[in-house]
Amino acid sequence: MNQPNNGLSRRSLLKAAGIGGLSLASAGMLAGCSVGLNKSSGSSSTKGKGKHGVTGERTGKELVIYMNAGHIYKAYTDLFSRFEKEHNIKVTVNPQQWPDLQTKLTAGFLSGDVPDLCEENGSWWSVRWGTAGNVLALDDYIAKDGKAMGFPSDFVKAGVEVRQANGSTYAIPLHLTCNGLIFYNKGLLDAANVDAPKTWDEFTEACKALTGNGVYGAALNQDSSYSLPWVLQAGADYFDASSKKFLTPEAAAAKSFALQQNMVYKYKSSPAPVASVSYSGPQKMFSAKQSAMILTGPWDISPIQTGSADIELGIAAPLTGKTQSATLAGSGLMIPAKSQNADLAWELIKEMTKLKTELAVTTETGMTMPRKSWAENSAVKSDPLLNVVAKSLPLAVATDKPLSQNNNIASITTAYTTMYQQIVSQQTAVDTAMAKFQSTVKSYV
Amino acid sequence: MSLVDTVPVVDEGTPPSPTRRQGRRVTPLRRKQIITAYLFLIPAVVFFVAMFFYPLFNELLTSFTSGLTDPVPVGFDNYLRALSDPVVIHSFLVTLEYAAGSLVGSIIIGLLLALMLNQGLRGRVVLRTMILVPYMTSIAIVGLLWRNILDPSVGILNTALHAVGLPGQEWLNTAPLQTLIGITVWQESGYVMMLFLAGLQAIPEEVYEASKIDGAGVWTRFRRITVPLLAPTTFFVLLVGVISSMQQFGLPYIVTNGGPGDATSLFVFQVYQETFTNQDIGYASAMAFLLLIFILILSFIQMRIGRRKDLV
Repeated sequence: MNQPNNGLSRRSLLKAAGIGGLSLASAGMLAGCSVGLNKSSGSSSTKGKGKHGVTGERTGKELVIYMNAGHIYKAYTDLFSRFEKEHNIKVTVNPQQWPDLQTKLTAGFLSGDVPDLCEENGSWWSVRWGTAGNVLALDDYIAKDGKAMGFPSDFVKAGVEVRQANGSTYAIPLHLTCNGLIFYNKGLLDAANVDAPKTWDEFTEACKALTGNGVYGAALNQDSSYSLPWVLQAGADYFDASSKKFLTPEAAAAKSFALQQNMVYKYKSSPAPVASVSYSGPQKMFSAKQSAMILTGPWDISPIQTGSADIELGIAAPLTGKTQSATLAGSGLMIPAKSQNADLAWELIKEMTKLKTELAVTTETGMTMPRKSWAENSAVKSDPLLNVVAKSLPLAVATDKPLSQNNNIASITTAYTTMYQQIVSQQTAVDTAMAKFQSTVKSYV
Repeated sequence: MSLVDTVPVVDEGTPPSPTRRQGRRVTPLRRKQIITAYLFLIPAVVFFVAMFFYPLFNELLTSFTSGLTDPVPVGFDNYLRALSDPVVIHSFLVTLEYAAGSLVGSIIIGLLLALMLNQGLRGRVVLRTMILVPYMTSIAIVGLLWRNILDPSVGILNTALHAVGLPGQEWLNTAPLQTLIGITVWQESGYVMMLFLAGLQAIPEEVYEASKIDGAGVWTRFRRITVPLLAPTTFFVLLVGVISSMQQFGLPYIVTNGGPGDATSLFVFQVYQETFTNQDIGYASAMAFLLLIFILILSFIQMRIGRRKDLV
């Protein structure tokens, strides 16, 4: 006997389930593929929509910030808590290491899924991404609020200029530091009866005297940016915009690399740096008392003081070779073009860069700041470590500023890193490594 | 009657097609069954189209463009540039060296371990598990583990060398690629061992017994019986190993960051560099496609050789 057709057999039920599943899968996946394409027309909320950025589901509700993982200081988190209450918004901080932050931002620009506010590393990020339309030009905001916040008049010029191109400003300096300062262990130097070095010769001699008993005189960094102060001190330029040449004059640049190579292989006063994603190797050796000196910047003050309280840290000004010089470093704050809370992000930038916040961060961590009024503050002037850093900031040069709009700037940096590591980690002849670098970067400018 | 006599002879030139072979019209019931089957297949097909083929197609299109968020068509420029770029050629050669070293090492050590643990050793199950653990460990953990072991200043290995009065070594500076190969062999050998172990256990004991009666020694049995009968397993290991070695990224990223210099800049690491550091998405896509084409050609050649030698 045939069963009466009641309209819902097991087969038809399965078929319907299959079709339903298909529809759901298709919708979900196609929506996933179109990330960022429809956010600007999102209908969830338009509250808080300003002149800049886009609207989306976060608009007016959540402010997402990408920051360097080492910069989430209490002074900032306290500020974020106050900001949440004042603006009735949730502040979400996403900490990343610089390379990961660059990866995440690149993917974000491609997909449209970007934070509302982002810290940049003081290199080409803000200018290159800004001129390409991925980061907002802050000119309108600066025209409105610049005078009241002391921008740019109260900010160190070099820190501002490195974030400007074609008359526009793409980021506001957050920290201003310089690389090439001599951090030394006073106890070890006193025990060896060595004074803090001021010149290349004094440094070389000090390294020789301090090396022994499991301690190196100094520890070179695998990160090639730490080699640039040496290049400048030798009287060479990283890039000369007029001649479009790198490491010129070459003989002077070669002298700086030869000195670093000799420290490792001839004098054996530094271990050979080991390539890695981290720049903290020398700081860890210093903290472990395996190195008497390192060449670095203020970002290492806090890790040393908190990790090795028994080390009496001394900081000396950058060395003098042919000239006395350091490289500019630090970070800034930029607003992605597709920020969903651009106006609020700007309000937060104003708070984060106030003198009061800068001093709170300095007190907490020893980080140095971009405001001129910060350098003039009595608390900074009376601090023996910070005072050295503040006095050294005017010596700092932004080496890749002439290349900030060059689309190959990252490839050039990669080629420079290859050359530097070949010299100090693999003992490749300086001339050979430099010739290979020059041949690689020739087509990039 | 032999077993062969019971198997119906099938004309291999005729594809199996029940409807055509039986010369029948597709009934409504059969049609409904076919439609139902396809409906159940469609979610999986859509999944692969959306999550694999669409991105692949998108990447193919991207490989003909230049620029990060406003791509400009550049034709075959990216491909031509990649084929003549010394940095790309270097990373390709380094990858070949890495693939060859890690494959040969894994196969030799994996086979030796399999031969050893195929014997009636006490605790062999525990040993097999222990040897397999590195393969089951995340590449990130393996990378960090070896990074810490090999660190010239604070690494365990140099500390041990110093403890017995030997000088410390800078493994990651003096032999970086060989070190990466060594780490890969350490990680992969357990997996290769398991595959060979399965292959060894499929070899009938009678074959060895017969050869022993014929006077074959250990070496002859290994050479004339074990190696030929393990050929399909070896072929599988080679095929899978070549594909995974050519795509290695995690180890150079975590252990050496491609350095020192460009010594461990494997091809996929270079693709990553072009994408996220140099921001040249079109160029990176072209490089990725060239690698895909190379792996396809290599796999095709391997399959052809395998078929000719009756291994697949």
